[in-house]
Amino acid sequence: MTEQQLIQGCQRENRSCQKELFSRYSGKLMTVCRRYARRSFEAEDILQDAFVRIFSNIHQFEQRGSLEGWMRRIVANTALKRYDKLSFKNESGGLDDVDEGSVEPDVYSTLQEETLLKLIAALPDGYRIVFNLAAIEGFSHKEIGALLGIEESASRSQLTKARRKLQHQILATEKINV
Amino acid sequence: MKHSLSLDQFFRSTLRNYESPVADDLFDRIMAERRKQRAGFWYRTGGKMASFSLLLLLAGISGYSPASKKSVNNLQNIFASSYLPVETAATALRPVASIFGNKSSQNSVPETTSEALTLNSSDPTNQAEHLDVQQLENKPVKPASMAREISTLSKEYPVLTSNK
Repeated sequence: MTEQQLIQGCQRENRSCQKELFSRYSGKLMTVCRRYARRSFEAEDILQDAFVRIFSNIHQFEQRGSLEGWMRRIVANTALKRYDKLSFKNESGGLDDVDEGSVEPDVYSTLQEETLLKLIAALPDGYRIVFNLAAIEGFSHKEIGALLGIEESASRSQLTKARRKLQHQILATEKINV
Repeated sequence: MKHSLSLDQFFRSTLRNYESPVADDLFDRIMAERRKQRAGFWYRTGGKMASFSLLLLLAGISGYSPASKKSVNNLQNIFASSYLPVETAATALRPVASIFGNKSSQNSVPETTSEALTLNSSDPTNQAEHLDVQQLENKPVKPASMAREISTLSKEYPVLTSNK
């Protein structure tokens, strides 16, 4: 079944098409949810809410962009709704004195996907959300500021702190492995 | 900065196509949630329609039309003619009056019992009910006095009390 047929089937509320769409994309979208959520049950809740919205709004999908991109945006928006916009404005991860950039790029290649997801999940809410939006989704700080209702400078600062903390954690993981 | 970019790039490229495991029953739960939301939507819509119908019904009973300001008085008369206690009628009319936005002092619904009694006494057609209410409030009806009244009536009008 082509993507076009799948979309049309879902627009007609055809259950087998909806199931096919779910099977095709739920794994990748679950990864998106896990990047935003701190715990696995939260990720599952986000995915459930996101798919309810996807099935309800699929008739609004304009087939100019990719279906996967459209669904990823819905998942990200659903995840963002779960977190209070103001909850992480003054958040501190306690790593202000840690130096940035002492990890060799070769170290990264030894890390598995599940380890990366765990490292992201261990970040404070604000760091995690800004890192996801800026580093992975590719949003600008201006866009993040508008999305989260924070200053651009706050977004930039959260991203720097998130990177520092991730590098610190990666080094710690490497030390354990060695 | 170079390391930061490679860190971002590494996370992006590694996680981009990674498929996490998903619970087997999640699809069924999503469908159940959708059904629940739809049922909720129809329930809410039905509720609104029922409220609107009730409002129309009340408006019909009171003979309300946007041009007429007598609707609340009409409702007051309906309550009064069915021998409802004034206080009950006033309490029942208060929300109706607020729906119609009736603010004039002549048609305003009384807030207290005494106000209700005063309002009723000013209308000659309601004076009988006004007295009844006062009598009921001041002097509770006792079975003995009722029996006495019945016996007096039966003496005066034997036809009414006879079994034939």
